[in-house]
Amino acid sequence: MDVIEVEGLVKRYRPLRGKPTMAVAGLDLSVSAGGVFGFLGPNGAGKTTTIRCLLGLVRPSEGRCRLLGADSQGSLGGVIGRVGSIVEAPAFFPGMSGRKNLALLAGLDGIGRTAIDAALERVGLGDRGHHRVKTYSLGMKQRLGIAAALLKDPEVLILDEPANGLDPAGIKEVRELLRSLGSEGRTVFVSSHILSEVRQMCDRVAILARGRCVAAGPVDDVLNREAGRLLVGVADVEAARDVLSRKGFEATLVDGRLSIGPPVPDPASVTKALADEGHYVAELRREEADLETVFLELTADKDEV
Amino acid sequence: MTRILAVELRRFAWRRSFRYFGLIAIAGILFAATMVFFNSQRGAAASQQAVVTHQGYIDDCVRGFPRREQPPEGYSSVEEFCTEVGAPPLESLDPSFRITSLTDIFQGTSVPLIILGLAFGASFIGAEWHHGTITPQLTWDPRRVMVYVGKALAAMIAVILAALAIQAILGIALWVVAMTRGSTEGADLAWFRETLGSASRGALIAGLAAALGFAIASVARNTATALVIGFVYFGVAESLMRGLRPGWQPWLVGDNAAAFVTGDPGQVFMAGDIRTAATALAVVIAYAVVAVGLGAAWFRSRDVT
Repeated sequence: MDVIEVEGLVKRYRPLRGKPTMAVAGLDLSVSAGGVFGFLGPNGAGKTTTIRCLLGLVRPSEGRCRLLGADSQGSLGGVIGRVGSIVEAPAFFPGMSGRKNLALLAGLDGIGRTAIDAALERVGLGDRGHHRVKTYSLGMKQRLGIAAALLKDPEVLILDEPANGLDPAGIKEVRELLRSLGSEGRTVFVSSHILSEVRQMCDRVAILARGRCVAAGPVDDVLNREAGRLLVGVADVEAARDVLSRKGFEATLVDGRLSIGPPVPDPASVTKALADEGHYVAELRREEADLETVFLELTADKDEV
Repeated sequence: MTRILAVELRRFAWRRSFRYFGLIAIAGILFAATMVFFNSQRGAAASQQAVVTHQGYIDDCVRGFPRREQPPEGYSSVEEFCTEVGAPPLESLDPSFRITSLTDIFQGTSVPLIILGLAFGASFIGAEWHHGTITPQLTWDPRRVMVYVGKALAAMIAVILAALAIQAILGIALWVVAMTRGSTEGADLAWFRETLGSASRGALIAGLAAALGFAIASVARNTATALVIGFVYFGVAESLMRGLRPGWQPWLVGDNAAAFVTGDPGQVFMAGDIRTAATALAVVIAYAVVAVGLGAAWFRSRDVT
């Protein structure tokens, strides 16, 4: 079952003056249960607006969102108790302690003190819970936001840039925390623009650019499909390139080797095509693209996506 | 709704501005009671001096009538007229503090309490928009109308309770002064009922002012804007309407509030006894309900960004 379904989502913001802004332009997305799902995109791609639509905070101009099967605009009340979230920067009353801020939220769902203590401990704020939020660093506020999201012991966690403001040690802790939550059977939906984090943390990913999903699937598949290359070493690279071109492969010459893809073809078909014409492969390896390359290629400001 | 109300009341009580106000109010009451204590004189000599002074006013008044056999219309004698109209009440000349003046004192303290009620109602929701805490709350309970009404009710209830508490502390402090350096003469059950009614009417209008302030600030999404709108309306617009359109006076919020707080609409409305205190209260309640209703509809329909 898909825990998150987004169909044809369009969101236009209409300011009092000026032209409407298209924040999301026909997004389709589905996220199945379990694991960590990365929602990747540059600033202004529409990640936060999509999350706001999912949580019923913003009304879509077109399309619809469903969370745990419930329509985000009508029947979210029945499932919201199973969803923990952070939208943009976690918001708290700065003059109150972290514990009091959590107590206010917990009170809405009848959650007791034990759960508050457990959530604070889990994010490493057990000894700072009684301090005022205005004395917290950005990273501590982020942890408090995660604690608030965990209070409900949720099936689905929707976290908007949870690693924002964290130091490297904090990022590592959050990554491990989210991975452990994902491995517990929960669905963790994380928006981020920190590519290395997404790569290390997520099982699946969707890449958003200019309000549309430009790639989605398991992280490795997206990387290979979108930016992986097959590097082929042969004695006569020019002749081999002609052979491959005739047989429908697009090959370019890079540092004395042939580079084929993306998408990466079946290596066996390449070696067979070359061997049939008398070119024997001396080197054959798959070059893994990094997520940054994929991201930049997919989100580059092109006319068409 | 019960949970929302409980959480919001707790948040109101936890607000620093509310606590500071409480401390300042208690300090002010203690200061005022101390001043009254030292200014109050008790004893036969002081009371006798008051009688002499009072008689002096009456004698001066009587001497002002050239023909004592022709009393003003409605009075059987010039002496009767001068006692009722020409001289201040004997109690006001008595230097000892009389607890019976508490009824009027409560009417006087109602004015700042009503203004503070408006300000606290506005800042209660204005602070939420300022700190962005509306967003996480709606991810815990997406029933916007319920959340909104819960907050408005909490602001109203908290202000009513706070106003009653302040009046009670003031009453107790002045009661102690009256017992030690003044007079509790005339403080019978009827007086107690009247005084309690005076305090309750002021507190109720302060609560309704909180609801109005809350509604304005929720639409403006800002405390300062709401306060400016509130004070411009009550301080300027209603004064202009009262002067330029006297026929509108029975429908002005401030005048109906004043009619209810004083319990004497005939003194407030230029057209005389055009409504009872109860109908004046009904008019104020109607305005508050309409304002909160419009605010709730606005809150329900707008994006939370």
